Amino acid sequence: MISGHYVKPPSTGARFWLRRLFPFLRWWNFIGWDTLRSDLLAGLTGAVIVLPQGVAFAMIAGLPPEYGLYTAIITPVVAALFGSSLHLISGPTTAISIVVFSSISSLAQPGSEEYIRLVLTLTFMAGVYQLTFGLARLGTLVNFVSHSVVVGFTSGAAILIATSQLKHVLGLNLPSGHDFVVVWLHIFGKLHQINLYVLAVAAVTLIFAVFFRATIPRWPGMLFAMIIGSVLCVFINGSQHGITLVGQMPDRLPPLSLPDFSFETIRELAPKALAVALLGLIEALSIGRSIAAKSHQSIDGNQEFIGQGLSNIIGSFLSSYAGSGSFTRSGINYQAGAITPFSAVFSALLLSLILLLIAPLTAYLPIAAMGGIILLVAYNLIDVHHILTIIRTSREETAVLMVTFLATLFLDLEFAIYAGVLLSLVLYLNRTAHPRIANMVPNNDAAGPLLIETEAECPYLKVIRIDGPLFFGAVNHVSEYLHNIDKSLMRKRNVLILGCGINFIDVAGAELLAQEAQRRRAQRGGLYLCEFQPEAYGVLKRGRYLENIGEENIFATQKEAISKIIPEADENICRYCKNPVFKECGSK
Amino acid sequence: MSIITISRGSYSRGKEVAEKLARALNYECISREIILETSEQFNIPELKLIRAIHDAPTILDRFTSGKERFIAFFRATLLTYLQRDNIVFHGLGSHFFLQQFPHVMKVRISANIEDRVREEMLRENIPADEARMVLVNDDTQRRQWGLQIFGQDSWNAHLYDMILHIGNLNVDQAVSIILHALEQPCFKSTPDSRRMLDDKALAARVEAALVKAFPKVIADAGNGEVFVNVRGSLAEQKNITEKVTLLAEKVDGVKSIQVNIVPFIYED
Repeated sequence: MISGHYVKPPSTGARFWLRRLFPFLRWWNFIGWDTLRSDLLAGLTGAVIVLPQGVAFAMIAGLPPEYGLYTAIITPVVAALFGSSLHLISGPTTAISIVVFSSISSLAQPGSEEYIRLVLTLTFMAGVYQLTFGLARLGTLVNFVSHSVVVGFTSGAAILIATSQLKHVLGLNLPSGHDFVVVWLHIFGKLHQINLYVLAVAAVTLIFAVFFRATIPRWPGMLFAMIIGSVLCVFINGSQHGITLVGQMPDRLPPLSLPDFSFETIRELAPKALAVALLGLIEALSIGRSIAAKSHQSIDGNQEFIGQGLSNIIGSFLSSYAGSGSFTRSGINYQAGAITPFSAVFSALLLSLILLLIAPLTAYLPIAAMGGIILLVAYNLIDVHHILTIIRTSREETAVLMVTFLATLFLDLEFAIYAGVLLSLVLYLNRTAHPRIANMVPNNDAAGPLLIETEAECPYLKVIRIDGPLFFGAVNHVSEYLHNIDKSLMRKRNVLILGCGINFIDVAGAELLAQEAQRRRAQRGGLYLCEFQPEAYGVLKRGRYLENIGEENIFATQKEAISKIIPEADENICRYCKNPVFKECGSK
Repeated sequence: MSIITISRGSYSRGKEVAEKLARALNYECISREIILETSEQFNIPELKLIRAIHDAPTILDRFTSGKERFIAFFRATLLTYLQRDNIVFHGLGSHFFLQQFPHVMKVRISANIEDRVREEMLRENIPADEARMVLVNDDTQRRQWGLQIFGQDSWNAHLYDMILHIGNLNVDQAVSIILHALEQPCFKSTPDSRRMLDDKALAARVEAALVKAFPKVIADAGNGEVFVNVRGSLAEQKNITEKVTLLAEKVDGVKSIQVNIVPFIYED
């Protein structure tokens, strides 16, 4: 038991490794009756939401509907207990289902026993890939998915989710599988066909969900709203007016299964499984990170990879097909007040119970009510506060956000992430390739720093400070700046570089300094360095660049450098100087 | 102007030491009174409260948080009571509850097991073996309680300013030693120590007001400004903040409330 009045010492040895092996032990002590209650309520809402989704996704994957539910029972439990995110709900997803179908449908008849066995093998192999990536610690790659990418992706996905539900909310018969624009064109073209009964059920469910969230936020308002939507559907005799119902579910728990381990099958499925594995990881990590942006949790990419891998491996032996993180269900889970991954466990247990006990009742649940709820979830996924902050703060980050957002809407989901990450990296590299170079002169205020940034400068000595790494990417920019010093004032042949802002120098950067020193000496000038950090100085020393620069031109402090350089300044230049900036100028 | 806590095992004659000390100082001597007052103030059965302060928590307690609730109530009553100053408090894990107050003198009284067995046999009219078993079980429960609630062994000498063994030393001599030690300035109440006690008492009362709804609540206070940490989902931040404020603002002495939601804690 943890008391609030003392801090447990950090674990060492066996306990540390036990917690590494079973990551749920790290948050085990955080559990109490209050967290269990919150998780139970969130799990209940999640169980009801996943019921029709599981069926729909299994059908997309070309599997019998119960396989979607089996995946919604097994996968989230393993992924939650062995993953890193506290709120990520894994299970069947649209994207993975589509990839599974396109991968296996060419090898066997969808829905057949052969097809199911191949899908389970694909699931097992995808899990092995994911587990291997996690153990190889490739999860750190997730750090390259910036916050702006996540916010853009989340907002785009929210609109996609909402768009996908409009046919259920409006009662329109839209062709499935089309992209965002085509779906909206179809909607506008069929506005006159809107089924008002369907719309009424969806709207009433949505209104009550909003109302319950505002008034009794700790209760499963979404569940209540769905019940109200179902009652309304019965009251208006919905099935007679074109309201589609979820339908009765099979009442059976996930049976044991065995993937096909024959060499031929494994060889054939290996590349397809890799695609499923990568898509699953990108989906799960992106969603985990977007939820973490709200919950302030830090995601361990490696652990998440391991969790996803184990869930697919174990799932393949319990009739579950490849799963990943679900945006909708994770969003609902978080918004319903889930605190620990136990919400996923409760959701799975309750789904099993629903399957066994009240499967016939699900026959009365209208899909329109589900659509209304999912619209609310999609709306809540759009983080307006963060979007506005990003827009106000940085144009570059705004560009990343917009590119990811638009790519999510108009391109493939996984490509949207790639596009955002790629643009983030390009902008980052561009930023580091252009380190800030500041012109410095002595400060007249004795209380302040010795040198300050200003426009004024000495005609004999240019003092600059480089803020950023001096590496191969930045060499061109810095070299150009050093050449431009001569362009603007032909007689200035001496440059002092303050190196306190240079945290890293590579061989290209060191060579630039050596060449610049030689060039300036050839012009009867000199390059001086001062206040270089030990790491940067070490590179110059080890590479013997100091021989070219001249050890006598290296100074520990600015004061030392200026007091040595200025007294040796050219009398002719100083005589006509109208702007003596150094205190040493007076003595000349 | 001092506060002295006396920790002891059953039949270690700690109670006698406490009572004689209180008489010598003309201080109030309390122990069970805090239980009664807590029971009355928070409307909880006395027996449940005694068990919460005495018995080690079970696995079930972790999920029900019953013990934590009773302990929070007890702590609030105790600290509020101690604001009166000039008190000798004995038993009931006193040293744990007052560990953070340097000016409170913490004394441990121990005694030979055979002496304790004899005392137990006399009082309860039971054979020696049974008496010994009762005492050993009792001591074990107390140690487990301390370890599980506060992470500290009540036999750890670092918890006390002074440990006196009643054997060669009799009760009067023990009282005399404590009285002598009390002359030291570090055991005198000062304006700073009183302010510290006031702040901690206010924080404890806020914790007691919130613990039913938020079992892992941790409150801190300074001059009426209360900082409350409760666990919960950040998705529920607004509602949790409102609920905490509503409950905490009823506590006497609260001027303002800051709520911090702790969404998770990882242990490495």
